[in-house]
Amino acid sequence: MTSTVSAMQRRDDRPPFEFGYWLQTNVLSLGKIITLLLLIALNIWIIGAGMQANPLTTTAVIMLWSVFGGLIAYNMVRHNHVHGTLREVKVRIYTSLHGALVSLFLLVVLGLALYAFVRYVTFWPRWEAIVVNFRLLMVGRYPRALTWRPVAAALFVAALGVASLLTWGPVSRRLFRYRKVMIGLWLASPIILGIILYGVGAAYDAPDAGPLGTVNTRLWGGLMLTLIISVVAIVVSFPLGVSLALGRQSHYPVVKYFCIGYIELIRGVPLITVLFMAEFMLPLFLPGGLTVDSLIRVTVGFTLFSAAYLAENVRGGLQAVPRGQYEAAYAVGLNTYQTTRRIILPQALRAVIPAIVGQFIGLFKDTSLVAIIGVFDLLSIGRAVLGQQEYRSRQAEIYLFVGLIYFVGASGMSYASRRLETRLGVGER
Amino acid sequence: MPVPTDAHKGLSYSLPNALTTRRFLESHSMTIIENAKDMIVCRDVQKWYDEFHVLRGISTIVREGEVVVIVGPSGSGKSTFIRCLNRLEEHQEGDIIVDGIELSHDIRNIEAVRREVGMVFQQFNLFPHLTVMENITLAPINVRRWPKDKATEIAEQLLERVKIPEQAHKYPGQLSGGQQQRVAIARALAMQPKVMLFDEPTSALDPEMIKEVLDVMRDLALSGMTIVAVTHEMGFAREVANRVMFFDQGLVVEEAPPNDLFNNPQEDRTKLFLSQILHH
Repeated sequence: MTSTVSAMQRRDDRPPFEFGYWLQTNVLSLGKIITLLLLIALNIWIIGAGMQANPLTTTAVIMLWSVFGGLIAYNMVRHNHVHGTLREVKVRIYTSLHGALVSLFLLVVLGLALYAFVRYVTFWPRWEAIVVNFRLLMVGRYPRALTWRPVAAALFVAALGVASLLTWGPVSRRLFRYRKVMIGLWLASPIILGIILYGVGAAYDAPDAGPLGTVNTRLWGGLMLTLIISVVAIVVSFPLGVSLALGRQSHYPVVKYFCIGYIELIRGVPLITVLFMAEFMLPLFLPGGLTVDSLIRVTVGFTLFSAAYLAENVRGGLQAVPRGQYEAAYAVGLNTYQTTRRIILPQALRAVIPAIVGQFIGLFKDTSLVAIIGVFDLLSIGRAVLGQQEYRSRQAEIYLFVGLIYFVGASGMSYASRRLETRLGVGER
Repeated sequence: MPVPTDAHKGLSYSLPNALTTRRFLESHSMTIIENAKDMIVCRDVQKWYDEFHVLRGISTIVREGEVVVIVGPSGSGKSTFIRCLNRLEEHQEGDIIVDGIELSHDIRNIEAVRREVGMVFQQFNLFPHLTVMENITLAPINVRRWPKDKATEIAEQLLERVKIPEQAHKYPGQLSGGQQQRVAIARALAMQPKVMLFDEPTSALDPEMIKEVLDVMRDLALSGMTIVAVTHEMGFAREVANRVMFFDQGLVVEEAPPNDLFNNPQEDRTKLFLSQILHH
């Protein structure tokens, strides 16, 4: 009741129409959004022009402006002119003058960074370097006439992803019965993708080659290659890492010490060393004449490297599961395998999702190291583009573009991990 | 179980009610129990934690349908003993035979015993990532290989029995301690065990929740389940136990029907212990 009364009072107290008040209330309307966007655009335009004419003075003006703006905002919030969400912001940020100053400083820094970025993106870049070399950045030196094959592969994966979302997602319960088909398709997808991308039969440029003639992996590159290496390494290293973590706790000394030895060995050397080993030393160990594709060697190197780190992360999770869980599981008659599979691993893995995803994000970005053994991933293709005479000075654009792709991939994983945590967090004690 | 028709002859007091009749008779004459088969047989069970001799030769027989309550000071080995009965702890000397199966290093024997023995823990130890229903049906589905429908049906009956049918789809973290412990009892019962072990089931509970758990345990005892319970609930022991064992320093100091042991202890150590827990 009281809240209704105060709301009514507030409505009565409200002046008929006041521009500043209208902007501050947190009810969003189309008119307000457009007004705000126009204001922002106007500011950017004014500041942009000022910056070109006299950067130093303009920067000083912006900083002063921010400080005053922040103080005004602080005062407004303090005197409860702002309601709802902004009020929560107030509680979080403006609980003390100290906090207010830190927030203000950070806001100014953020504002300047944003400003510099927006200014750069609006006025300077010449994106032709990327537009012209887009195909190169995406698929590397994959034959131009066969570009449809990577596109088909991407569409296939996208379709599979959408179908999975429909099957497991909240759209319709009925679709859930197709889950076995979906699992089958996912299991078959490496072969299908292999056929689409690598092809079958004669080389693509041989006279008797069909539309699916083989394309040597030396011609693969760009984003496609980065994605292949990281996805395969992530997918394969996960079960491998979990097995190593479990093996490390095994009662069988041979299994236990093998796992410990493996994990410590891999963790003791840099990734680059592992990659060099995979590239140059692996062939020496293989029986004579047998050669393994360079791409496979690199991917195996990444997988083995990632598995060792993953094992240590999972071990942390295993140690976080209380002893009572093992005891309860054994007491109801579950055997060791069932206990691990149904009781221990679900809890252990849930506890270390952030660590595991963090590691996968690291792996995704570390794929750029393959450049040193001559595999053309996204970043090295970018560098190759910079080697072209006419785009020599387009570093900013290229690195911005490449960085953006990595950022989208990494933050996508990060987002997925948070979603997963929330979903699995149900009923946490 | 054979019930001698003349078992109550010679008793001068009146019997409380039909349900408790059998227990009442048993706790005063022990006739029925002596005719029942041996469910748990322990012969000179000994166990060490490194140098510490925690069980120093326990010998006892628990008959089918018997309710045995174990009391004793902390560190007396009572929890260790009850955990040896389903091999959560390993004994080093002596024999433990449960339902005719000897607990040895043979994992098949251990798993066979664990299928027939339910256990309830002080800290509940429910599986926090599974719903109440999943907690209960997990073992029947995976160990007994029951179809899901059957397991669910039985789980519903059990939840009815422990009086929380409406909580089936919650997670353990959303329940009170007393409710969690009742789910833990239902989970143990879902395997249709022949013996139930209770390891201080009410010690971690708030006082007002102890009763709801004891009620369930009492019903269970009256239904004829073989029970071995470590507990300090003397009311429970008096009411349903056939026998109370007093543990101290890894030995059974004294064992007797509850009324005899509580009212007329023979050993000094028992008297001291009882005076301390009864007059605090």
